Amino acid sequence: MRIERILRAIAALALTGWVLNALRPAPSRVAITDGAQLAGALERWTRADITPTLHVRLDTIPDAAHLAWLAALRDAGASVSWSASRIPVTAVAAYRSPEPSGDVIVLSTVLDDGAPVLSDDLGPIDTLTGAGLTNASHIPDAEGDLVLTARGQAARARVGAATQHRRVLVIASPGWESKFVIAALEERGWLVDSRLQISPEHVVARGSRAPLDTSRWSAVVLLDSAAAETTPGAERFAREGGGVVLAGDASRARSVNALRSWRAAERAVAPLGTAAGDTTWRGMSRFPLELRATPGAIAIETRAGRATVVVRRHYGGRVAGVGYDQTWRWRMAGGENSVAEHSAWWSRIVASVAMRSATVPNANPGSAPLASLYDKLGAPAPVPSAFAGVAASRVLPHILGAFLLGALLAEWIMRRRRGAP
Amino acid sequence: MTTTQRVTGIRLALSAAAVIGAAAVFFALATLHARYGVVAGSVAALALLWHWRGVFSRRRVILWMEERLPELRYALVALSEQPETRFRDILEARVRAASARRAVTVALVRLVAVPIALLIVAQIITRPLLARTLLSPRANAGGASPGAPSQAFMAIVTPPNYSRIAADTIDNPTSVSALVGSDLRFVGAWSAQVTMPRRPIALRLSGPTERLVALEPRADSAPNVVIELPARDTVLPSGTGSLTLAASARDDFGIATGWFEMIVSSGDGERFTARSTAIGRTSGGGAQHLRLAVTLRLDTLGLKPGDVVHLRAVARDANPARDAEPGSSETRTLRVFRRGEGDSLAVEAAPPPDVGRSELSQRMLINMTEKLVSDMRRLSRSDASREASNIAREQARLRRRVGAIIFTRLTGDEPEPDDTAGMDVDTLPPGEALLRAASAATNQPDLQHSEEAGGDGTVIGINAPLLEAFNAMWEAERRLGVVEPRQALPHMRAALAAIQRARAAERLYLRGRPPKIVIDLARIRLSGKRDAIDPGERSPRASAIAAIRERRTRFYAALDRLLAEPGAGIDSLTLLRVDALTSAPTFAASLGVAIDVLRSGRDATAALLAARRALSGAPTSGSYTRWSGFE
Amino acid sequence: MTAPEFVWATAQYESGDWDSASLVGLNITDSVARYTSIKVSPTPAIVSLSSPDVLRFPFLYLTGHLPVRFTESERRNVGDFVERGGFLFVDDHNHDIDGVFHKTATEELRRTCGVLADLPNEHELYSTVFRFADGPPTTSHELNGWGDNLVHKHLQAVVVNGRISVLYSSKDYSSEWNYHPESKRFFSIDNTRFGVNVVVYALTR
Repeated sequence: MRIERILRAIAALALTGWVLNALRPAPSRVAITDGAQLAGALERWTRADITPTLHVRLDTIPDAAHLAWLAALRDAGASVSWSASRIPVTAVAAYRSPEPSGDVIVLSTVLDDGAPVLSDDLGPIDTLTGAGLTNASHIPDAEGDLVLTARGQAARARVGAATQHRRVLVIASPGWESKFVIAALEERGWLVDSRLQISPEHVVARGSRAPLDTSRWSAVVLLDSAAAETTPGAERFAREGGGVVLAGDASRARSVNALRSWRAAERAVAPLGTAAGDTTWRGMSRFPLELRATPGAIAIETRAGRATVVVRRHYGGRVAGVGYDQTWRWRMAGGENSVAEHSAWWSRIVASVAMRSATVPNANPGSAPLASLYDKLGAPAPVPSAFAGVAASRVLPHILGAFLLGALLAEWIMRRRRGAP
Repeated sequence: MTTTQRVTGIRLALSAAAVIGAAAVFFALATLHARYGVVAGSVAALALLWHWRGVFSRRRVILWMEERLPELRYALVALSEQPETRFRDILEARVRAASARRAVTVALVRLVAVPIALLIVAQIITRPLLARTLLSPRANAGGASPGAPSQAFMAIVTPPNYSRIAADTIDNPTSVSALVGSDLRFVGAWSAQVTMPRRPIALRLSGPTERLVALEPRADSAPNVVIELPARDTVLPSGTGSLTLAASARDDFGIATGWFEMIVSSGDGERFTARSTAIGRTSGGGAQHLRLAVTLRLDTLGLKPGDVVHLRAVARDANPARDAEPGSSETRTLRVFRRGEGDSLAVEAAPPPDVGRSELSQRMLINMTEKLVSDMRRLSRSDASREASNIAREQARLRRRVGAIIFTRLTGDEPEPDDTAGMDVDTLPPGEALLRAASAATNQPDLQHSEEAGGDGTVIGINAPLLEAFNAMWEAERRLGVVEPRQALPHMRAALAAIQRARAAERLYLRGRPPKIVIDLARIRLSGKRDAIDPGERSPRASAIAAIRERRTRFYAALDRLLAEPGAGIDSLTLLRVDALTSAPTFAASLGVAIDVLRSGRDATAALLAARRALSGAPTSGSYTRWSGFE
Repeated sequence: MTAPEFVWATAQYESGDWDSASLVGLNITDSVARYTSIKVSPTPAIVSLSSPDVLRFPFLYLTGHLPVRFTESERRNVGDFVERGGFLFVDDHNHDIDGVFHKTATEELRRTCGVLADLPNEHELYSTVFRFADGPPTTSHELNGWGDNLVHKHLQAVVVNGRISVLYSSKDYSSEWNYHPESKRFFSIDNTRFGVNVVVYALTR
């Protein structure tokens, strides 16, 4: 009898619990999926009639659409979290070189053991071997978007339009340096005006002889002190956004003091036996440019620990100092590729200061998938406990029901055995 | 032949025919489709072999023969069942009398001929090459699009006769590369006959559709001629005697003729006369290699003192084109000695110049050092040290002599002991110190910069190698001083090489040095009448970038067209290739591969990517800078 | 200290009398200094064509009477010189298009540098400093009927990328300009003015 009462009590408790459980608000469901099954899971979760707790275990970062989908579910009230054990870190940005060649400069960050591949709409372009934290690659051309893929994870960058340049003006005394600097720039596609003073009254020129003006020229190259002393307005030109290159003796001319953030040291001549192709000299002579404490001045080329090419901003413009005065020797006698190397080097110097058009904004410079993931879903979180949720939401009514039926059945059997109705 | 052997022979023949027939059926069906054809062929071949299984059974063959040859009257069956019957001779005679040849032949033909015919038909269907031999070009001319691989089209290239190269055929050609003047005949869906031009062109062929073929002319290279004798330029003591001339020539196809060509120049100052002559003309007979040898009797040239003979070997190949260039060797100059020239000519009998003596001594020092290096293990430390010191002392003596030569040339005077005493060799490279000493002695402040400034040709032509030798000797001397002969040797050899270069430079001053006049720049600067000066404007230089950009635009436009209309896209790429053949040969070559792949109907992505890389160049890697545009 | 910018360099080749006009360099250098402020070396240079040193002198002058037959190293260096932007001025000291210098030099230049073509008389070479409306100035050798007895209307040139890389003259400027610079004062019109054009063209184009 006593047992029967206990059983009835159990049945009553189970019934109470069942009713209470039914009256409780709908519990949230925990759903866990792997990155590979994310697409299907997202579809299921979106159609589910309860608000789930979602967790994604990632081996690569989902593409932008799936990431946006997860963010939308989170915004709709779902709890969304992610975790990853080992994930490639990639980021890529690309922009057109400011040179007329319009090369694409790809800046990439890769942290991965594999060999990340850079490709465009046509196909693979290059494998970034030895990829470290940062890379800068010059790609002659790209069709459509650039995609950096590491272990199936893609970072995408759109290449901006080519920069439109105005002309470049070279002012110098006639000589091999001026001849070959002009040749270098013209070979690389620059439209070069020139003023070469052959006598006090005469100039071999090309282009306008008007005062320096950013509406005509994007950069001016002064190759010697005479050119610097006889060209007024270089400081104003730079202030208005133009680029000024002070090379050779021009880098120590007094008339451009306002533009200089360096002191040109004594000229050094390469020791006997130095090869003309030795780019530590770039033409058998050099003079280091000792940086002053002016903020913003940067040495972009150093030799023997001393700066030889220096750049700085000057109001809206940029100024470069070049501590070489016989680069033509490097071009002429520097070996098989010296002409191309000389041209490319001078073109980069001028491009690095030339005024750039502000009308070509780079709307989508690149992407960093990991940063996007953090931005959309926050920091990674541990995998939530699955058991509690499952018991609460689905198994408990069945357990209580089993207890109820079991207790009632046992109580009925015991009653029948003792002959009670 | 016994009856048993005869039956066995027939059985083997029929079995072999059955196997051949089954194999032919297998290959016929396998040719038609790579996967299903093999399966169907296997099934068919096995079914046939099952159907023909009787040929492998002796008993069935005997019964088959009895059926075909009623005159046997079961003699064969009887002999096979009871070989030792007492009627054996009678039965054997009956078998011998019956002729099975016709029946067996018919059976063999049936077993083999039909499957072979099937195989031929399958080949005809699948192999255009065979089709072309069997079908007329018109038979399969229409229908297919350009670029379809099954289109029957080929070029027959017949090189010019002189090349002796056999005619060749190219299937489905995208481009034809052949010798200039080759006869090109296109047959098949498109037909034409042209001669290979001198410049690359795109040949438009009209047929069912228009088709472009790039014609890439290969120029016939001139013979390569090497003169062997005389081995070097020389000065003849007189215009008499004889000289042996020898040369060899090689050509890619064949040499027609070769000879020695001479120009004899007479005179001096402003008056020169010259006459040309050829000797030793030899027929090459079309061989690829020709040897020329002749003895030149100098008397026949009528040489006078001071005359110069410019001699070279020349060979011409069999190319009949009027502008085909002959090949020629280096020129040897033979000069007849003229009295009074002895001071300025490198006459062999004359004593060697100072620099030459330095070379001899340096070579001797190298030999001594090499011997010391090889003896080092055997020598005691003190002996090795003493020997190295001796060589170092000799090296120092030689270095001082070279230094004196340089000093004399720079200053015009012999060095006094005081001149070089103050050489600051502790703080400067020894060559620089020497230059400074010379500079101090002459009050010429530029001397130490002569290498870089290039102000005086004599200084550059001779002194730079000598200075290099001077520096190398200094280093060798230092190494020998610390008993490191092995480390000294490279410097000693460098010194020897530099001395030899200096000597080679000197050898060229046959006519002595030009008068040394220095312009007084300060006095004359801007003293001319400048009122007539009227400088014109500088014209711009063509940019290589523009050409690459134009090619790139055309390339991408062709790729776009390729997606919309493959035939037109391939034609655009072909035209681009023809234009690039001379200006961008690497790009043209890789584009040719891509066009071939496209024409064969395969995936051309990799080939087009390679072409793009050849067009634009490979990516280069740099590093981040803090200044954009300078990565 | 800055190096002199322009050095007149006479090319020394093995096969002929390369130094037949030894005063030309001095004379033209003198003229360049008289008319312009261009930095020049007061002494011309001599450089062997077989030496890599040719690449240190972007202006080379080559003349002679005898055959010009380059050696392998000379041919290689001249090819490199032209390819890298050097200016080679070749003058036939014979003033004779039937002469051995002309025949052999033009053959060598064609093989080494490219095809020589007539230079139009309107070319900017003739207006770089002084204006020569009729093209190249005539020489006394031409007018006196020496050599081939012809007045050559054009100079010839190998033009690369719109720039003269090899200038070839049959006019015998080597004889015309081969005198001591101080003798200029005896001329009413300086006959070396075209030489100044050639040098300034090489330096500015």
